Amino acid sequence: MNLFVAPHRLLAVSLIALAPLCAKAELVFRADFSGPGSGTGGPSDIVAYGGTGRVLNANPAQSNVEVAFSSANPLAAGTGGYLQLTDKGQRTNANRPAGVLFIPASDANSFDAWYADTSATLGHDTLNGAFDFLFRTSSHEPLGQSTLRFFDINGGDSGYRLALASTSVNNLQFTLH
Amino acid sequence: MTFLNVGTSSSAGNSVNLVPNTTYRIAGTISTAHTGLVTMKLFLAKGNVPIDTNSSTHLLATRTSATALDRGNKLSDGFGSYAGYQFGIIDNLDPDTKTLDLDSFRLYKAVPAAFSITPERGR
Repeated sequence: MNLFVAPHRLLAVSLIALAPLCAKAELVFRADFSGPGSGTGGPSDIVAYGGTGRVLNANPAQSNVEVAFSSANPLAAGTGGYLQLTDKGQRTNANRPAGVLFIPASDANSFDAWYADTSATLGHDTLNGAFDFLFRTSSHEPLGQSTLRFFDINGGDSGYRLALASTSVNNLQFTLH
Repeated sequence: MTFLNVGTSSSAGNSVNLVPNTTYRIAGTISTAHTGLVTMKLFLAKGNVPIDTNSSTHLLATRTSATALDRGNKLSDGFGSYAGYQFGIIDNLDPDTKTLDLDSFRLYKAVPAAFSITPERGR
């Protein structure tokens, strides 16, 4: 029995063994808010990868929120443009959202990439995924009673609802319904 | 009906007192064990710093469900987000004025070992 293993084969075997440990979670969508552009990955586009975006301000007068893109005083060195929402005070009418609308290129580029209907095979559904973003505010109490809803997506009666929102002063909730 | 939620609350004593005009990274993860139990985590870091998802350094809160997700096989859809969804919405119920700045929103198909600092190169 030959116990000698060539060094290059040992290295290859080691790399194969380590591969699962080094696996990187796949990034499926990224928005850099470089500007109001509705393309993908351009120097002035909202979305950098995985879809497109557009400004959402159903009725600026009623929402009383200004949606803009700025590159002055970026949130971090080198991050460039960002989305700036200027809340000018209490709205004059209900349900006038102001922010952006993301349109993923496919379900694989959306929150739905987290979901797998594995009830038939595993006996339960499966959710695996993650999000992050940078945030800054001028307010001492930006998280007030239902004033800020970063996202709230709803799959309807046959799906799930997922939200990240402030629910009371200085409190933040990440909720799966 | 809420299946699982994680976050801060005054009663839990982990309220978020954000410093004005300071950059934070907010991050969240969902993972499903082989048992079907779901764990949600919420992170908050001051500044553009990486967040280790296996560390408690920037962890605001974590919770694991008591039951598996859809064990009765009643649901067949995800979130419907492929059709488009809103981000950065102010309900604006309060009379106070403020600015809210948002940047570098990222979605991952699985839970990364760490959320890296931004900007990043490539996709």
